[in-house]
Amino acid sequence: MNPYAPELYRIKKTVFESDDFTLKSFLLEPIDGNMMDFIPGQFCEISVFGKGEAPFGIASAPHEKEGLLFTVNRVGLVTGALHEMEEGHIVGIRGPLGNGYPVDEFKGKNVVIIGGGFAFTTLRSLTLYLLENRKDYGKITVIYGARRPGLLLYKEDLANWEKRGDIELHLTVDTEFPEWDKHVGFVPQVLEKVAPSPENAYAVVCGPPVMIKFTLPVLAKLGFEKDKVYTSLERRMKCGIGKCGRCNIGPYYVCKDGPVFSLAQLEKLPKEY
Amino acid sequence: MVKKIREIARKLLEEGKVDVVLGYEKGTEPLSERPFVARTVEEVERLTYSPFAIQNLATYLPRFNNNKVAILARGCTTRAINVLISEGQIERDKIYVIGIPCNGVIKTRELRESIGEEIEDVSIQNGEIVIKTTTEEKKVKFEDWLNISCKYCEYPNPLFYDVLVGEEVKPRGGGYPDVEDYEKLDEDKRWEIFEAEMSKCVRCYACRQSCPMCYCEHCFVDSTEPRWVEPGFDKTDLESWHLIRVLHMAGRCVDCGTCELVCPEGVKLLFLTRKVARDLKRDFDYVSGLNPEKPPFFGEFRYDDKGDFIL
Amino acid sequence: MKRVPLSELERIYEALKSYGSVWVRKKNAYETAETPEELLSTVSKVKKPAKFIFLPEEEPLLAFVQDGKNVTFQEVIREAKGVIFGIPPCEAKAISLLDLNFLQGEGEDIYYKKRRENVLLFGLACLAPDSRCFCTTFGYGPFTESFTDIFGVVVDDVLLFEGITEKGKDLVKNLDVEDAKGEELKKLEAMKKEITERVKKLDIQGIQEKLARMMDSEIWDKISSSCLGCGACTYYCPTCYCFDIQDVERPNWGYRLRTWDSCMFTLYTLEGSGHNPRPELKYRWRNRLMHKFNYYPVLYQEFGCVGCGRCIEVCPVNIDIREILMEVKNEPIRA
Ligand SMILES: Cc1cc2nc3c(=O)[nH]c(=O)nc-3n(C[C@H](O)[C@H](O)[C@H](O)COP(=O)(O)OP(=O)(O)OC[C@H]3O[C@@H](n4cnc5c(N)ncnc54)[C@H](O)[C@@H]3O)c2cc1C
Ligand code: SF4
Ligand code: SF4
Ligand code: SF4
Ligand code: SF4
Ligand code: SF4
Ligand code: FES
Repeated sequence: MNPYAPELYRIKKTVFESDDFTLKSFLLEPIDGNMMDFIPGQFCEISVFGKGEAPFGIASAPHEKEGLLFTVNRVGLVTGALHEMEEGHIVGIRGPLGNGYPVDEFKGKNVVIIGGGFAFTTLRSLTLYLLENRKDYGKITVIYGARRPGLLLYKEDLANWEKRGDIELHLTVDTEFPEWDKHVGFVPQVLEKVAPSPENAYAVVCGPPVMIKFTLPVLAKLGFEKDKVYTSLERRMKCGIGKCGRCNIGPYYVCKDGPVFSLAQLEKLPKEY
Repeated sequence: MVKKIREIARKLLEEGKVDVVLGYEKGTEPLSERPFVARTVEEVERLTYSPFAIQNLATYLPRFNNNKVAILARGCTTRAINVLISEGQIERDKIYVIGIPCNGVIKTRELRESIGEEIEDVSIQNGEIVIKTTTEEKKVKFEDWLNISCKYCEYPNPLFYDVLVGEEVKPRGGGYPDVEDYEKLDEDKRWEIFEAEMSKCVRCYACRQSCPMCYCEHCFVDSTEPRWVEPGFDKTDLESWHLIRVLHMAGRCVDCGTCELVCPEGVKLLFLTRKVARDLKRDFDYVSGLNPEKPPFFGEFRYDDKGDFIL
Repeated sequence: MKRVPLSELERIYEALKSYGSVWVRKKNAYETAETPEELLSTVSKVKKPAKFIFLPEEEPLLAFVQDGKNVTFQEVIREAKGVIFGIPPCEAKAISLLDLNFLQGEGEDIYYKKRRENVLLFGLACLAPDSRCFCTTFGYGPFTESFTDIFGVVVDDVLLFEGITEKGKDLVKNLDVEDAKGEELKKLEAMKKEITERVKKLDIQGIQEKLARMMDSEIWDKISSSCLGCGACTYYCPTCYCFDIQDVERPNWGYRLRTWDSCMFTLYTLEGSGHNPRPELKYRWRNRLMHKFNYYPVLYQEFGCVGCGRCIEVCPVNIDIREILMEVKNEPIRA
């Protein structure tokens, strides 16, 4: 098996997620019909042939068999080329890579999911996974914020979740907007207000560095132990399989041993992220 | 000379006039006089100086921008300082210049490699470099192993200084006979030499990193959008890497020779940089680094320059 | 042990040749030999280590063709087969360290493997350790045979050698050579002792535990203050393996290229947002030293340096890893 050889996938659907056109989602189907199996929190290396590869978290849930979903922020060479692609284009996929969220460890527990900005991708996957296996988990709370309503991802899913009685959803935007009747304020403030109980619970946090920085103290104040809080790290990556060296944090490779780490694990590592 | 350097450095540090002294110390390799940053009075005792000190110390100045720095400077070092000032990279009043009139530096790596035996001791006596190996004592002429830029250098004395160590020296001068020799060759031969040199490059970027004028945070060679040079070792890519770099250096290169002297593969680079320097001087009477007020020759580097004129 | 006089090396050359390419030591790099005489290289340390054969500075991974929205690609695997003749123990050990990265675990690197499994290491004892060698620091020395397939020593004008691995033994078995003589073996033992002792061993006892506590030390500022941040030390290091993968695009086709990379480069960790987890040279130097002397031991119970001294020689500013190890050792730990 050649770990550098991608599988070919066809773009089945694309949709702009944000009103500023910087975030575009891609639904990909394998051209040989074999959908990969994965765990929420894992990622793939997507190839745009001629431009290169870049890592992206899988935003779809394992049971969503219509395709793999990725949401891509346009920043450079590969992401720029991806944004130019439409239905029918072929891309390469290597994956699933990385460890994913410890969904087995979460069994029987309450799960608090906290997301900010476009880092909600793998949290969508996680939330849908928990809902699909609803009876295995306790209370599910989702706190999700963006700068403004137009930047919230996956609006259809959010609407569905709001209708369900078995998940508590808290959406927030940074400042007041017309017709916005949900929370206003930064994610950490909303977390403090919602104050989920740490009893028998895990928390998963993904978002921009500032959000994480201010969210962690709130979780600590609420009483969440460090080994009950998980986050997903980003580092520049190439191989995605622990060989090329670049994504190491201490002796661990974010691509292979991560990207999901508990705060207890991170505390023992150099702050190189 | 070394005694005087240490005296000055000690005084500067003791009186708190500077935070660090950028100088040289004896290295662990034969013929190595390596850069050394003295921060304490004790460390001053490690400072030395000799014609084996190949690295232009101006390379380090931008990273000490928040400090008061004393720097050992030869003619080419002060020219580099001028360019850095004119391009807004550093400020003159934060720098204390310990001027060193220079008799030229030696192609230390090339000389070391040419010996091919373990070198036990090296000294300079009466215009000769005396090299003691495990089996014999070899003597080579100082002039034969001079860095090519030094051989024809017109500015061996610091252009400015706060203190001068030693007597000013007489410039060897002499223009660019090496460049003229190269130009006399026919086109095929020139191209052959150029290709042979470039093909040795391993893209370690020691030349760029050691160069006092290569301080760009995002070097064109690393840019992916647009991509000027592809990754890998295709000869056109190695060649464009060096050609564009040389063009980017036009009017900034102070002809110190550091880039060529440090290259682990011994790639010759000065025949390109010196050709550009000669053309600027001949055609525009421009010499880089003589005046901190004068804007650099090319205010801006144009990526669409083809550089055909170099070869 | 077997013996073959140096004047009759063609007796083993043909056998080596029948196995594939025969690489020998040339001053700048290992090159394939065309005549048996070339086996008699006097170069004691090849500038570019043998890792170039297993992990070349560039190699295509795949090639692709584009046709409108469609793409097809093909794997491109450069194989190698043969014998590296005269590889010294340090480089052979270095290759065993590369194996740990490329062959261990789930994701075997088949590009590396295809070359590695078909290239035999015919090691030779290193008879002229130079002033930069500190191999004995790492629990082996100029006469250590264990990382090679066949190991030999030149004693006067005779090559003594024996098979070490099964593959090596197989090759030796079929050679038309005599057994070594008693006095030759005795001489070998004497040489081994004398030459091994010539290598300057460093005392780095406890260095890993020490480093593990030095993440936030001020020593990194000092160590990196004259470093230029080039790739020389890591490119020439026989144990460094970091690589980059980028695409090369031509009209309607292209290829994916793997090239070396270095943790000493700024770009190595620079992210899209402009954030760099290792923003300054001191963090990069810390990573290089930590990788070799702390992380490698954590992962594989082996140091990631073999003490060959190449980095000391190629560094434009002569930063000497031995001095740095000693500085680390002597640095007081603040509570
Ligand atoms: C595990 C993981 C999951 C990710 N998930 C997503 C996702 O779901 N959606 C999304 O939009 N982005 C995601 N990213 C970030 C994404 O990989 C980078 O934005 C992308 O690689 C940039 O590629 P580029 O070719 O467009 O940029 P380039 O043209 O290569 O570079 C542009 C800039 O991006 C930097 N860069 C290159 N590669 C990376 C990298 N891997 N990470 C960070 N910066 C990089 C470069 O240093 C440069 O400054 C994820 C990254 C990781 C490591
Ligand atoms: S120092 Fe030499 S080998 Fe390194 S990039 Fe420059 S020319 Fe190439
Ligand atoms: S290009 Fe070379 S000679 Fe010119 S300033 Fe830079 S290091 Fe000195
Ligand atoms: S001495 Fe230097 S080059 Fe040799 S293995 Fe150690 S780190 Fe690498
Ligand atoms: S020292 Fe740096 S370049 Fe070398 S293998 Fe380790 S991380 Fe890679
Ligand atoms: S070779 Fe020397 S200057 Fe270059 S990165 Fe390594 S230590 Fe620094
Ligand atoms: S991306 Fe290559 S080691 Fe992690």
